[in-house]
Amino acid sequence: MADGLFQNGVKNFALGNIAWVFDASPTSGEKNLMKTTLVDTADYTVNLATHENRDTGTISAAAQEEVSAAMTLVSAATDGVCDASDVAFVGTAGDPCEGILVYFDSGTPATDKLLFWWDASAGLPVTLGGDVTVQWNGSGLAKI
Amino acid sequence: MAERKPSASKRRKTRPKRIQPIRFVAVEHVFKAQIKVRALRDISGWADRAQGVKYAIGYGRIGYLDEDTAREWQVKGYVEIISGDVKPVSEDEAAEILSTVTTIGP
Repeated sequence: MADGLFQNGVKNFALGNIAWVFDASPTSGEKNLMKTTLVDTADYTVNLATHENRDTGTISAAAQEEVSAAMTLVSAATDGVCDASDVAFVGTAGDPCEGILVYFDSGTPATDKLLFWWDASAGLPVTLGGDVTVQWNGSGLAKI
Repeated sequence: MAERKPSASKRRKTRPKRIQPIRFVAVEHVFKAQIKVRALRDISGWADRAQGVKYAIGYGRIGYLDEDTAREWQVKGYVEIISGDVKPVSEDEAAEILSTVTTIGP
Protein backbone atom coordinates (compact mmCIF):
# COMPACT_ATOMS: atom_id res chain seq x y z
CA MET A 1 0.00 0.00 0.00
CA ALA A 2 1.49 3.32 -1.00
CA ASP A 3 -0.80 6.31 -0.61
CA GLY A 4 1.09 9.51 -1.21
CA LEU A 5 2.54 12.14 -3.46
CA PHE A 6 4.66 11.41 -6.49
CA GLN A 7 8.05 12.95 -5.71
CA ASN A 8 8.25 14.31 -9.23
CA GLY A 9 4.81 15.82 -8.77
CA VAL A 10 6.10 17.77 -5.77
CA LYS A 11 9.07 18.81 -7.89
CA ASN A 12 6.74 20.10 -10.58
CA PHE A 13 4.78 22.07 -8.00
CA ALA A 14 8.05 23.59 -6.79
CA LEU A 15 9.15 24.44 -10.31
CA GLY A 16 5.87 26.21 -10.97
CA ASN A 17 4.80 23.77 -13.67
CA ILE A 18 1.57 23.06 -11.79
CA ALA A 19 -0.74 25.36 -9.87
CA TRP A 20 -3.54 24.17 -7.62
CA VAL A 21 -5.75 27.19 -8.24
CA PHE A 22 -9.50 27.40 -8.69
CA ASP A 23 -10.60 28.17 -12.22
CA ALA A 24 -14.19 27.65 -13.30
CA SER A 25 -13.12 26.46 -16.74
CA PRO A 26 -9.48 25.47 -16.96
CA THR A 27 -8.41 24.82 -20.51
CA SER A 28 -5.64 22.83 -22.09
CA GLY A 29 -2.27 24.47 -21.60
CA GLU A 30 -3.14 26.06 -18.27
CA LYS A 31 -1.31 24.92 -15.15
CA ASN A 32 -4.40 24.06 -13.12
CA LEU A 33 -6.11 21.43 -15.27
CA MET A 34 -6.22 18.41 -12.95
CA LYS A 35 -8.04 15.14 -13.55
CA THR A 36 -8.63 11.97 -11.60
CA THR A 37 -8.46 8.41 -12.84
CA LEU A 38 -9.54 5.05 -11.48
CA VAL A 39 -6.64 2.68 -12.01
CA ASP A 40 -6.46 -1.09 -12.43
CA THR A 41 -3.23 -2.05 -10.69
CA ALA A 42 -3.13 -5.32 -12.61
CA ASP A 43 -1.87 -3.06 -15.42
CA TYR A 44 0.12 -0.53 -13.41
CA THR A 45 2.59 -0.79 -10.54
CA VAL A 46 2.93 2.55 -8.85
CA ASN A 47 6.33 3.99 -8.01
CA LEU A 48 5.99 7.24 -6.11
CA ALA A 49 9.75 7.79 -6.10
CA THR A 50 10.40 7.67 -9.84
CA HIS A 51 7.23 7.98 -11.93
CA GLU A 52 6.59 11.40 -13.38
CA ASN A 53 4.53 11.44 -16.57
CA ARG A 54 1.36 9.70 -17.75
CA ASP A 55 3.05 8.25 -20.82
CA THR A 56 2.35 4.66 -21.80
CA GLY A 57 5.85 3.62 -20.75
CA THR A 58 4.85 4.50 -17.20
CA ILE A 59 1.15 3.78 -16.98
CA SER A 60 -0.62 1.89 -19.73
CA ALA A 61 -3.87 2.97 -21.30
CA ALA A 62 -5.42 -0.31 -20.13
CA ALA A 63 -4.75 0.62 -16.51
CA GLN A 64 -6.83 3.79 -16.70
CA GLU A 65 -10.40 2.57 -16.60
CA GLU A 66 -12.19 5.84 -15.87
CA VAL A 67 -11.01 9.42 -16.33
CA SER A 68 -12.75 12.54 -15.08
CA ALA A 69 -13.09 15.89 -16.77
CA ALA A 70 -11.23 18.85 -15.28
CA MET A 71 -11.63 18.80 -11.51
CA THR A 72 -13.14 21.76 -9.71
CA LEU A 73 -10.29 22.78 -7.45
CA VAL A 74 -10.26 24.67 -4.19
CA SER A 75 -7.24 26.95 -4.32
CA ALA A 76 -4.35 25.83 -2.14
CA ALA A 77 -4.15 29.22 -0.48
CA THR A 78 -4.62 27.92 3.05
CA ASP A 79 -1.56 26.11 4.41
CA GLY A 80 -0.81 24.55 1.02
CA VAL A 81 -3.82 22.24 1.19
CA CYS A 82 -5.00 20.94 -2.18
CA ASP A 83 -8.74 20.31 -2.14
CA ALA A 84 -11.38 19.72 -4.78
CA SER A 85 -15.01 18.83 -5.31
CA ASP A 86 -15.98 15.19 -5.10
CA VAL A 87 -15.99 13.35 -8.41
CA ALA A 88 -18.81 11.12 -9.69
CA PHE A 89 -18.21 8.62 -12.47
CA VAL A 90 -21.60 7.65 -13.89
CA GLY A 91 -22.20 4.25 -15.48
CA THR A 92 -18.68 2.92 -15.14
CA ALA A 93 -17.37 -0.07 -17.05
CA GLY A 94 -14.14 -2.00 -17.04
CA ASP A 95 -11.88 -4.06 -14.81
CA PRO A 96 -11.86 -3.67 -11.02
CA CYS A 97 -9.80 -0.71 -9.86
CA GLU A 98 -7.48 -0.63 -6.90
CA GLY A 99 -6.03 2.85 -7.22
CA ILE A 100 -7.03 6.50 -7.51
CA LEU A 101 -4.68 8.78 -9.40
CA VAL A 102 -4.75 12.57 -9.70
CA TYR A 103 -2.68 14.12 -12.43
CA PHE A 104 -2.08 17.39 -14.22
CA ASP A 105 -3.40 17.28 -17.78
CA SER A 106 -0.96 19.10 -20.02
CA GLY A 107 -2.87 18.17 -23.16
CA THR A 108 -0.39 15.43 -24.07
CA PRO A 109 -0.17 12.21 -22.03
CA ALA A 110 3.61 12.08 -22.40
CA THR A 111 3.92 15.32 -20.46
CA ASP A 112 0.96 14.96 -18.08
CA LYS A 113 2.30 15.10 -14.53
CA LEU A 114 1.40 12.48 -11.90
CA LEU A 115 0.57 14.10 -8.57
CA PHE A 116 -1.31 12.03 -5.98
CA TRP A 117 -2.02 8.35 -5.51
CA TRP A 118 -4.20 6.29 -3.19
CA ASP A 119 -4.58 2.53 -3.06
CA ALA A 120 -5.45 2.07 0.61
CA SER A 121 -8.62 4.15 0.64
CA ALA A 122 -12.04 3.14 1.86
CA GLY A 123 -13.97 1.31 -0.84
CA LEU A 124 -10.94 0.02 -2.73
CA PRO A 125 -10.77 -2.14 -4.70
CA VAL A 126 -13.91 -1.10 -6.48
CA THR A 127 -15.86 -3.15 -8.99
CA LEU A 128 -16.99 -1.08 -11.93
CA GLY A 129 -20.48 -1.35 -13.33
CA GLY A 130 -22.56 1.26 -11.54
CA ASP A 131 -21.63 4.76 -10.46
CA VAL A 132 -18.47 5.41 -8.47
CA THR A 133 -18.11 8.55 -6.38
CA VAL A 134 -14.68 9.61 -5.19
CA GLN A 135 -15.21 11.46 -1.95
CA TRP A 136 -12.11 13.39 -0.97
CA ASN A 137 -11.01 13.60 2.63
CA GLY A 138 -12.55 16.51 4.55
CA SER A 139 -9.02 17.82 5.08
CA GLY A 140 -8.33 17.92 1.35
CA LEU A 141 -6.49 15.67 -1.05
CA ALA A 142 -3.02 16.55 0.11
CA LYS A 143 -0.84 19.16 1.69
CA ILE A 144 2.19 20.38 -0.20
CA MET B 1 18.81 -24.12 -32.62
CA ALA B 2 18.49 -20.41 -31.98
CA GLU B 3 15.00 -19.17 -31.15
CA ARG B 4 13.49 -17.12 -33.95
CA LYS B 5 12.61 -13.53 -33.21
CA PRO B 6 8.91 -12.70 -33.58
CA SER B 7 7.99 -11.09 -36.85
CA ALA B 8 7.55 -7.33 -37.03
CA SER B 9 3.78 -7.70 -37.24
CA LYS B 10 3.71 -9.78 -34.04
CA ARG B 11 5.89 -7.24 -32.26
CA ARG B 12 3.48 -4.50 -33.27
CA LYS B 13 0.60 -6.41 -31.69
CA THR B 14 2.34 -6.40 -28.30
CA ARG B 15 3.14 -2.69 -28.36
CA PRO B 16 1.33 -0.87 -25.53
CA LYS B 17 -1.91 0.79 -26.55
CA ARG B 18 -1.52 4.56 -26.78
CA ILE B 19 -3.46 6.67 -24.33
CA GLN B 20 -6.26 8.09 -26.40
CA PRO B 21 -7.46 11.55 -25.50
CA ILE B 22 -11.03 11.64 -24.25
CA ARG B 23 -13.28 14.34 -25.61
CA PHE B 24 -15.66 15.86 -23.12
CA VAL B 25 -19.00 17.33 -24.13
CA ALA B 26 -21.66 19.18 -22.17
CA VAL B 27 -24.51 17.14 -20.70
CA GLU B 28 -26.92 18.86 -23.07
CA HIS B 29 -25.25 17.00 -25.93
CA VAL B 30 -26.43 13.73 -24.43
CA PHE B 31 -29.60 14.36 -22.47
CA LYS B 32 -32.79 16.01 -23.59
CA ALA B 33 -32.85 19.46 -21.98
CA GLN B 34 -35.97 19.31 -19.82
CA ILE B 35 -34.86 20.07 -16.27
CA LYS B 36 -32.50 22.82 -15.16
CA VAL B 37 -30.02 21.61 -12.54
CA ARG B 38 -26.93 22.71 -10.64
CA ALA B 39 -24.16 20.15 -10.18
CA LEU B 40 -23.16 19.37 -6.59
CA ARG B 41 -19.95 17.60 -7.61
CA ASP B 42 -17.87 17.00 -10.70
CA ILE B 43 -19.82 14.49 -12.80
CA SER B 44 -18.80 12.59 -15.89
CA GLY B 45 -20.04 9.56 -17.79
CA TRP B 46 -19.64 7.87 -21.12
CA ALA B 47 -21.51 9.33 -24.06
CA ASP B 48 -19.79 7.02 -26.54
CA ARG B 49 -17.09 4.80 -25.09
CA ALA B 50 -16.00 3.41 -28.45
CA GLN B 51 -15.33 6.93 -29.70
CA GLY B 52 -13.81 8.11 -26.43
CA VAL B 53 -16.48 10.70 -25.75
CA LYS B 54 -17.69 11.54 -22.24
CA TYR B 55 -20.22 14.05 -20.99
CA ALA B 56 -19.30 16.18 -18.00
CA ILE B 57 -20.56 18.91 -15.77
CA GLY B 58 -18.48 20.53 -13.05
CA TYR B 59 -19.40 21.41 -9.49
CA GLY B 60 -21.60 24.50 -9.28
CA ARG B 61 -22.32 24.59 -12.99
CA ILE B 62 -25.83 24.90 -14.38
CA GLY B 63 -26.97 22.34 -16.94
CA TYR B 64 -30.02 20.70 -18.41
CA LEU B 65 -30.99 17.03 -18.13
CA ASP B 66 -33.93 14.90 -19.17
CA GLU B 67 -36.48 14.27 -16.44
CA ASP B 68 -35.45 10.69 -15.62
CA THR B 69 -31.76 11.54 -15.34
CA ALA B 70 -32.44 14.67 -13.29
CA ARG B 71 -34.60 12.65 -10.91
CA GLU B 72 -32.00 9.91 -10.57
CA TRP B 73 -29.10 12.31 -10.10
CA GLN B 74 -31.07 14.29 -7.52
CA VAL B 75 -31.58 11.14 -5.46
CA LYS B 76 -27.88 10.33 -5.77
CA GLY B 77 -26.98 13.81 -4.55
CA TYR B 78 -25.24 14.74 -7.78
CA VAL B 79 -27.47 17.72 -8.63
CA GLU B 80 -30.08 20.02 -7.22
CA ILE B 81 -33.04 20.92 -9.37
CA ILE B 82 -33.31 24.59 -10.21
CA SER B 83 -36.44 24.49 -12.33
CA GLY B 84 -38.70 21.91 -13.87
CA ASP B 85 -40.89 19.23 -12.38
CA VAL B 86 -39.85 15.66 -11.72
CA LYS B 87 -41.99 12.85 -10.40
CA PRO B 88 -41.58 12.13 -6.68
CA VAL B 89 -39.40 9.17 -5.75
CA SER B 90 -40.64 6.48 -3.38
CA GLU B 91 -38.38 5.18 -0.61
CA ASP B 92 -38.03 1.84 -2.37
CA GLU B 93 -37.11 3.48 -5.63
CA ALA B 94 -34.61 5.77 -3.93
CA ALA B 95 -33.02 2.76 -2.23
CA GLU B 96 -32.79 1.00 -5.58
CA ILE B 97 -31.19 4.03 -7.22
CA LEU B 98 -28.70 4.48 -4.39
CA SER B 99 -27.74 0.82 -4.52
CA THR B 100 -25.99 1.49 -7.82
CA VAL B 101 -23.59 4.01 -6.27
CA THR B 102 -20.30 3.03 -4.68
CA THR B 103 -18.39 5.62 -2.71
CA ILE B 104 -14.65 5.40 -2.37
CA GLY B 105 -12.14 7.88 -1.14
CA PRO B 106 -9.12 8.83 0.82
